Amino acid sequence: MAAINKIAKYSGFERRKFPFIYLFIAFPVLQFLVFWVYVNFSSILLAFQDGDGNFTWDCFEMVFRALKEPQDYNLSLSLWETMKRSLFLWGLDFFILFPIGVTTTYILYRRIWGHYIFRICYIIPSLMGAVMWTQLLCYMMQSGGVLTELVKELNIIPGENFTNGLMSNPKTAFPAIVSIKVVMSLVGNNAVLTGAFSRVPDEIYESAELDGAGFWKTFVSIAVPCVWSTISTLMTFSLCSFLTADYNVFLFTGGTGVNNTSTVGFLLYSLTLDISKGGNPFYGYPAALGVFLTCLTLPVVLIGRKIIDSVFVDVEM
Amino acid sequence: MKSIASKKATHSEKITAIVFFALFLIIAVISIYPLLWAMNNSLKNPDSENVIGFEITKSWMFSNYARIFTDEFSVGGVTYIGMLVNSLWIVIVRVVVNVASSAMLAYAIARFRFPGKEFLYVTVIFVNTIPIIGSGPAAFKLLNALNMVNNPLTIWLSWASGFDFAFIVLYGYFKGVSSSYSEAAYIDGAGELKTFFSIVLPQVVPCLVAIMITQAIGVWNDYGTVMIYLRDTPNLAYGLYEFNQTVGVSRPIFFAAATVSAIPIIVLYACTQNLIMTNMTAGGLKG
Repeated sequence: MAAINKIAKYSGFERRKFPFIYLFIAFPVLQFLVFWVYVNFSSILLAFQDGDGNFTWDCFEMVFRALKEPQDYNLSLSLWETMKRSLFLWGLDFFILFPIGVTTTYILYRRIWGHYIFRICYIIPSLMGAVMWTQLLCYMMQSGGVLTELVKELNIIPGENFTNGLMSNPKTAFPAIVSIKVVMSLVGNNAVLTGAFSRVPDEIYESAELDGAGFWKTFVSIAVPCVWSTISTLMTFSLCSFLTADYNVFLFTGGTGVNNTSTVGFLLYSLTLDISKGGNPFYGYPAALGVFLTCLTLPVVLIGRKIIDSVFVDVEM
Repeated sequence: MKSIASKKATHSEKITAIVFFALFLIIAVISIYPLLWAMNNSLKNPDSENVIGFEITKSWMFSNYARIFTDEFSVGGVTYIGMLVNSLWIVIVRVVVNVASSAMLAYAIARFRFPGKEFLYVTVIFVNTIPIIGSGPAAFKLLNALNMVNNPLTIWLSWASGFDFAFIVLYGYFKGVSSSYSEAAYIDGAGELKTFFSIVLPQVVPCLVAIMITQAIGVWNDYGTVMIYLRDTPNLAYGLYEFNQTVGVSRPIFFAAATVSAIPIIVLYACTQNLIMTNMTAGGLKG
């Protein structure tokens, strides 16, 4: 009866379109059911299964053991240490690099000298792609490489010779990855943010300027609130990856994560790659790790979204 | 709107412009230096020069660029040209099926009233804002069971997700397209498909192209997916990684290959920058 009432809400004209609409969305919905719903559901089930498919808590016990001490799957660091590195990189991105990115995008949008060329230069690391960029930098960080020589020349770590390069030294490997992330992330959302800034009518900026608002006042009180829906969307996406980003450690370390560089994103990718190569046919541990990390991430995302959404009211333009 | 660096800019705006110009210049040098460094070292002679140092090449060996198109540069029997072809088809198929899938879903949800519409919209928002971590092994298990791993003919099915960021951008666009043209088309006897392809889609072409270009850049550089699911069909990103792992590889050839691989995508972005900037926006994740 309820279903009939619901259908009755629609006019005859609308009802005649239902077959077309359902046919139109059939493919994306089926694709979603198979490759998202089924995959995630089976991932949760795998977390509670042993190699023979029987129910077990062993996979979660492995995760809790991995928190304290390095397991075979976890290379040189405990899961807790790995998570701390991921959290550090995410915090750097979310709290420092993202606000800097919004600011620099706005300044470029306000057509500073050479803004067009600067935009292309900044995006070159992203355009070149992780493989090319990281492999080139790895060469630059080898013994005799330009970055290694620079660090030596500046005597950043006194007494170190870096005979095997920066990535082979536990003191410099992770800081090197952090430095490269800083360069690559500064303009990460330039395209989307510029699109958002360009949608704010010029009259709004002009009237603020006529009222005596300076450059920074206009930025903070006019531009940012006007594009807040875009900023909050990007921040929400960033929140979702708060433990899983930065799997490019894989490239920097030749897939080993050595010298205290391992991150959660790298660990999860390595586990999947290992399975795909037939090296480890056991799906339970990565699945349990995923469930554990999802349980940790979920409250952070939900609370974070509440806070982000409460900062500014969406502006209609 | 007046430029921060224009003659009409205030004193404080000019100071801000100068400070940030200097900062941007430094970041630009840092961003572009590795590419210039690779170009320089790609022209060196590995027998007589330090191929990872500062020094400007003395040899100018342009022949290194010719060598990447020979069998010397190959991964699992696939040559550079083969990898280039693989990159191209992976980009085209993945981007087209993904954007088509998102466009169909976004159009239906944005423009029609039907049972399940709200549920679908909330589901898309949920999927994009609630992280589900660690499903990679389960996805591999499924694709392996479906014989889709290392299978270029079927792998595209797993790429065709309509529930992603492209949906969010397209949904906003379809919502903004005036319905008067569609209604006029209905009155003239056009069916739903004809209205979609002839009336609505042409109005969102700039947005579709912008999404496709941004996705193409990501897919062109994607090594992770190819390394797991299409290892026998290496694209340039994965091929370069594998080639570089080979012992005794000629570094100048690697640098030459990296340079040649980066140029098409840099040119594409430089030519379409304004299109991307003015058509990419996302907002409103409240579901």
